Amino acid sequence: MPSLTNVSSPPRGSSDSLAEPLVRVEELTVRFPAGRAGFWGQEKLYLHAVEGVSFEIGRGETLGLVGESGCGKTTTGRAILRRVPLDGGRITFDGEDITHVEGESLRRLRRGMQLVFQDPYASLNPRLRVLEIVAEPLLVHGVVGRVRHAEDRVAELLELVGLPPEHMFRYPHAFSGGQRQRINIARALSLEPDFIVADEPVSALDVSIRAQVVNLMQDIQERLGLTYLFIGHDLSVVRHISHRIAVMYAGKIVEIGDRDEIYEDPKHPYTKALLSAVPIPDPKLEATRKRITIAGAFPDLLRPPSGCRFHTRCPIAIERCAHEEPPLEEKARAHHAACWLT
Amino acid sequence: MASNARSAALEAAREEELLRGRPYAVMRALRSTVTELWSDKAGMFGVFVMLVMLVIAIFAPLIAPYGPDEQSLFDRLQSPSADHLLGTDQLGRDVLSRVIYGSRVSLQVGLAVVALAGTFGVLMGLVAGYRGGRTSSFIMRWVDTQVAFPGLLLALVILSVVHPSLKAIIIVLALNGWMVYARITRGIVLSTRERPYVEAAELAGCKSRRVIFRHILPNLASPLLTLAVLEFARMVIAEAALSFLGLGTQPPAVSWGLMIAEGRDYLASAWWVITFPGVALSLTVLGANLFASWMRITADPLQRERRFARATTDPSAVAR
Repeated sequence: MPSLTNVSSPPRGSSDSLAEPLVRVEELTVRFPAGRAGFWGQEKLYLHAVEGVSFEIGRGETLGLVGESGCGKTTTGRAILRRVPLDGGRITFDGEDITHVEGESLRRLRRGMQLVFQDPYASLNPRLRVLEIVAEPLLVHGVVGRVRHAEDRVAELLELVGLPPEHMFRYPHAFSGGQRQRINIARALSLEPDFIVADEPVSALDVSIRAQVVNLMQDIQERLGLTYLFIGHDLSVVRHISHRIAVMYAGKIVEIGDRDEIYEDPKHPYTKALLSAVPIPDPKLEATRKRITIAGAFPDLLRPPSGCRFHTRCPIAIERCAHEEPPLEEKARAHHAACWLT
Repeated sequence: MASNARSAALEAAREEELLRGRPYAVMRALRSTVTELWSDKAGMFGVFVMLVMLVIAIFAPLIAPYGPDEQSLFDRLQSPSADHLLGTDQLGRDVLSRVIYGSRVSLQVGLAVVALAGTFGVLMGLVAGYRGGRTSSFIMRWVDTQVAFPGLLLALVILSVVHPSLKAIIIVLALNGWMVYARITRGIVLSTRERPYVEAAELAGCKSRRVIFRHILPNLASPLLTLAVLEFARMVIAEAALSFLGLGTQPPAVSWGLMIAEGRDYLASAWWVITFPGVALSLTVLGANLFASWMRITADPLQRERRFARATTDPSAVAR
């Protein structure tokens, strides 16, 4: 059995595709049917959850995906894992078009991509022991024949995520939130995936535990050469772990670029407003901090606004924003934003 | 050093794991269950009643002092005495022996109906919960229709047409009792399906059969066991009711309901004829209910842990 702890770089996949991004998403669109409207129900309603989203994630890279709740972050992550039906677009994983993969090949594909859940309490089956939880992916993919044969591997994985291996015979309720999230990570890692979607993995955790789990994820990334899509709404956590960041608003990416570019020189008014909401851990500076507050409410995604989706709340919107949708343009090196005014 | 201590701990945990299920581990588990039971007096009473009933029903011929239909017209309606501990009825039959033999019918009907109705109901609930859509609507409307129809009436109609044998009683009662299983199963399936750990299993690559049996079905165990015990009690009463009305167990055979029906004319002069089968019936139902409420907690690892924690920190709180 190959030892997890000694893997240094990600030599898997086709070797000539090293420059090629691991994950490429093009014009991803997800719409959920949301019933019918009109007196006779003649109008079919769709929730425009994700609309024309495109990005790439390179090998060993972390893309942070931020935005307020309901903006489509989670749906984007689930769509890449092919958990939600797509309405358009193309997803390429490791050089292979996976947009229409179904059935058994989809099941096999999932060996390469795993999800770390938001809620560490609900995502572990309370009736299974840690051993069974972490070994399950190995079992169903035929890596091991019986749970008992996975003990060494599970011990290794638990060690990797910083849990005492002898705890594998315990049930999830014997663990704290942070420990459970470690079990979650161990399960996601058991099949040695290349790509992990982390759906707000620390937002359900105590603030004091968050740093531990985020650092653990970073550490594991370095050791195993993993690629992350890190979904979050805590901007300081996302900044800490991400190499690049994409900002979503109402189902669209409004800005994407290198981490420091985004944080130091945001181009989109929504990103500016988001960043200005981050508190500064210094009371004096905090008192003088100027916050950009955006008025109004999040738009109804059943009937999304015309033009730029942010124009209804944008402090600097002009006439044009209401009619024409701004394209995602390169505003600086490796830094794209969708706004007419910057 | 640290890694040595660590691997030693792992070895210890493994060893303990290996010994699971070995005779002494089983004994230990049994002893801990008994200890647990001891701290919950109501539950203990329930378990005790159920066990006693089981033993009595199985060993009825050994325990009963007389045969259930041994008549002695000279000894009609005798009050409880050393010869007849619970007295005799209008045909001079020993009430104690008849109560003991009567438990057989109650137990048989209760268990058979629960098994039959439970299997069918759970199956229907699983199908409705998984398939959803039209299948679900069809099954659930069927359930609603049957629930809306008075159960006793349906039973009486059927039993007045066919000959009321034990088999017929069981089938009729099962026909009446499966709906509640279907409803509960479907509800639980619907809610568990959306749990993140079920999604996790699916994302890990589990096939749907594994998801169903490994991740969804165990959630049904605790509520269904509890429901089954409660339904057992209900079916014991239902059988007694049918027998009381004359459409259940037929005369040469014994049943508590039948005994109550036959004895009610002598209520004023010979209270024992009707009282003791009534007491047996009440005790059984009460025991089943207490047993069910104890089981509800014991079958659920989380609730069980809570009870254990409460018992260790505050022994007086166990009763709560």
